[in-house]
Amino acid sequence: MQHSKVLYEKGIIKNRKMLTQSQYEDYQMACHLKHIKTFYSSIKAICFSDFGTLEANEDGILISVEQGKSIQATLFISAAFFAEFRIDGSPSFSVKINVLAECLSLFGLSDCSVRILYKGEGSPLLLLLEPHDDDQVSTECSIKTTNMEELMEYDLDANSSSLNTIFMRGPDLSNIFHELDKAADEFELTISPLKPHFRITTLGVMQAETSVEVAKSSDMVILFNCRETTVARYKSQQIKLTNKAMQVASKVAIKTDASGLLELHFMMNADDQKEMYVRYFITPLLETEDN
Amino acid sequence: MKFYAEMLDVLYMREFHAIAATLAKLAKDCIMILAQEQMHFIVNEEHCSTSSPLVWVSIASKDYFPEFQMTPARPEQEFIVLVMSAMHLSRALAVLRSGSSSSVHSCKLNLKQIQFPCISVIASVVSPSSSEPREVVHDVPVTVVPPSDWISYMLPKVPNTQIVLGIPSLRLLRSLIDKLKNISPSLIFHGSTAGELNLVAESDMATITTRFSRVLLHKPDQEQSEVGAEAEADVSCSVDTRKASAFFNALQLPNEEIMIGIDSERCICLQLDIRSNVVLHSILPAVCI
Amino acid sequence: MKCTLEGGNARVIAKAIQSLSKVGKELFIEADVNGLRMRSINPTASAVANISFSRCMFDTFQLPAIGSFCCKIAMKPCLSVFRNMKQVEYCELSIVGNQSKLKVNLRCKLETTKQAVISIMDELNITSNVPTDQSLNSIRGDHKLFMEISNSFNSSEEELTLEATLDTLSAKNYIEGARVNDKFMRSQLKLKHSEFEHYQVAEGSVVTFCIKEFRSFLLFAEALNAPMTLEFDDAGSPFLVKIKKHNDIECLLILSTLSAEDVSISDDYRPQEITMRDPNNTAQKRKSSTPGPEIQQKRRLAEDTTLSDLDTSLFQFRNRRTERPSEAASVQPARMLADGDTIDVVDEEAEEEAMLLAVSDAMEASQIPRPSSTEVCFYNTEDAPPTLMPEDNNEEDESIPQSPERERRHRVRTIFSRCFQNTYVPREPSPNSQVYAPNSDTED
Repeated sequence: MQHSKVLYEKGIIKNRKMLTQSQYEDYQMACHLKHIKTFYSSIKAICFSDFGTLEANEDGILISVEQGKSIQATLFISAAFFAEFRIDGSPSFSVKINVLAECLSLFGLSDCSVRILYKGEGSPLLLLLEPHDDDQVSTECSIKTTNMEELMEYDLDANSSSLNTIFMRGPDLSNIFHELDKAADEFELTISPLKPHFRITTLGVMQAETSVEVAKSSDMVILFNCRETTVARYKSQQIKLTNKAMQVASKVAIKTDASGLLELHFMMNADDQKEMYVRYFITPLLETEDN
Repeated sequence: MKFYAEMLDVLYMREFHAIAATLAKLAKDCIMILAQEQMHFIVNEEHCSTSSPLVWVSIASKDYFPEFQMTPARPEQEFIVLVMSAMHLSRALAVLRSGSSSSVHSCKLNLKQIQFPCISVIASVVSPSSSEPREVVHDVPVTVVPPSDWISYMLPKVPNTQIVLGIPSLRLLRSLIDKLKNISPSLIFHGSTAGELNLVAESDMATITTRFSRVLLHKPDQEQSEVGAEAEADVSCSVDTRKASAFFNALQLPNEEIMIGIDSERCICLQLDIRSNVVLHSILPAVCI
Repeated sequence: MKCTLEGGNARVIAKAIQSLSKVGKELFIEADVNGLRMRSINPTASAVANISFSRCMFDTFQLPAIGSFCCKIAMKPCLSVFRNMKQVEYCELSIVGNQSKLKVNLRCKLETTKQAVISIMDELNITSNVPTDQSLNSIRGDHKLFMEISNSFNSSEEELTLEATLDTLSAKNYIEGARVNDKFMRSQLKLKHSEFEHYQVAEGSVVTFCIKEFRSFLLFAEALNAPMTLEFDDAGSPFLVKIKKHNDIECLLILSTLSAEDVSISDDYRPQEITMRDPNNTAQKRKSSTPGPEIQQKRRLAEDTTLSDLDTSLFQFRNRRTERPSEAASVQPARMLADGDTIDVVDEEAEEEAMLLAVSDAMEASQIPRPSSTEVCFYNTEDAPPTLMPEDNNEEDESIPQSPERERRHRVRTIFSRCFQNTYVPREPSPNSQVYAPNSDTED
């Protein structure tokens, strides 16, 4: 922030709250990421609400976004993903997620490195961006933080007899979701040990009903673990919120049980194969209980 | 009143289209001023209140047109002044753009009367699927501005600025300003004679400061800058981010360098040298924060 | 009815549906001993598109006991089923649910199956009786050439005018000598006859037709990588676009053309040099250049004619056409499909080639003669409808009521309506309250 401080002293920058006076060593969180591409596309994938909460500990960083009480997305970035990762305690705060996304994309398609810094409660989140292809240019972003908001807790019972788990290849599953009728209001997801194994039916389209089935023996299915048939309906709008994550995911895990709660894990493509994934929880529509 | 011009060079034709395409992105209508040896375009005259900035382009006719004949309505007049749809002009010239898929032999511009006055754009094109040249004609409707009204269509003057910086990273600048328009309605350009340009966007949610260091310094006014040559001086001006973004997003030219002049708290002058005698200018007026 | 076909051919059918979807909001499907036919008619009834696939495009082809089948379905759901065909290996089309539903089953790569059940709206069919083999002028060229012509014009353009002479073809977005809107940019492209594979123009001819449907057919020609043939006589008579591939796919688009009497032509609207005698008054130039009182009056007359033509027809075919015994019907204008509803998938060339092979393999087997003309009529395969329109005598063309036209924002034009006007079928949204006109031809 040395540079911003100079501009503040000259009166160019007005908002003093956005500047931090601390030395580099005093930061509660100081991470360095060499390439922002995967990080940016992951943030963009969960950018469906105003605010996101960030929590960090020695293992890595979690960024969560919710909409209403029915959908939650969480981005996990393990400490190994960063070139440098120093966390003091377990800082947590909320930021405007779209501002964070805009800041990461300031230089468009040019790849950048980023330093992420946070001093502590009340301080702004700092991003220092440097494009790789032009060393004469650098950006300091200072984003306002607020206290962390409580998150919903979702959980699938790992011991439930009805817990079904499927792993699929990301691009193939993405194609299937992409081709679902955009006009549909609801999607019905069926997972069963016998045929049709995995089926999505679109509901609420005038004059037509469409469905798509994938056999468990298909090459796109990496793992198929199902003992009991589960059927649940979801709002198509909420399923569509996973589109951006689906498009860039290399693998997708689908988990659900008799309750209908849908848990999706998207393994994000990263050049160096270090772990970064997005998890979604989507609650089912109630009507299914009548079926 | 007569006007006839012909272009033969593929590169120049492509540039000429890029200029028209840039204008079309900025405004509905553009003004074409034809002089004996110059062709000028103006979009968004100053009184206009759109979010697009004032932009003008001056073309030395001998640079682009091997043939350029302009006869005003009366011998004592200097110009022909026309108003036309920028989109029409850009579309009429679009055929000049296609370099690989088809080749253009020539492009003629001709002022004609067909029901109403038109600039006829006549291109001779050879497509890859045949060897025969085809003639593609577009008649761009124009309104002829009478001399009594010329006063409202005067070519703007480049204001004096305290500092002029040449920024070599136009691509990064364009993307940056495009994103900043979602952060803050105003944007501060801060330049220093030490060869640095800072762009600052501030809002309740974020402060974003971008530094372009070691940029080329062009001294606009030798006498003035001699005085303060020793001390480091800096100048700043705050402008409408959307206006700035509209300008940068409109650019269809391949230039990688742009000159930014700063007149302290008055305006930002932008200048794109397409060639030595073909120059695009814009002025972004200061806004109060 | 039930038919099956492999992926490459299914992709061709998908392309056909994508093209037809740009013509009309409904898809008419007809199956008989010759094969499968798909048709669409545009809302103003100025264009009828017809794409026929011979039986040998299909692996199996079962007709119902009565020997033929036809139905009408909504385009939108159909389009969404046939939108993404890349993965499709095998396709099965069948009629289920007591003739009430069309079932599409697509077997795709990676053991994926897509299925759609689309409701049949009713068992209507359309045909047109425009003669399709008597045109004086015929021009055939590669789809690329016509694509280049089409691309020279803005996508918002509504009409295209072709000026054919013995050795040149000019494509224009205006009619030479006719008045245009003050802000209208005239565009034209001049081509020499040698650019075409076949160029036969008996005498100079100028035809104006809707470009939208022409473009939708062009897309299909591109998908088939087939040449396209244009056949026409003169202003006012139908303009035909034909695409043919190995005798297995035959396409015909019938477009109405603007009749010569409906265009007022003046030298004022032809190119001339700008002369400004009084440069101080140039501001008034535009106004003063408008025609004097005499011509103004004439134009007003022309405008009046246009207005009064609202409920007759602007696009009328010559008498020799309308005198033909015909069983034409007019269709109520339907809402246009939004452009966003259609998506084009460009197939890989390899896939296309595979399809071609499949088609040409079966080529020889299918030399079933085809009717040289198609008929326009509505017919119902069920029993006689509750009410019947009095049968119209063909000589009494003028007294036949026109179907109500929806008001259009720009120039109101009823294109082609005369062609369908001889029999009138008022159609209600509910199939139960429909009034059908029987086929007045004796052929059934």
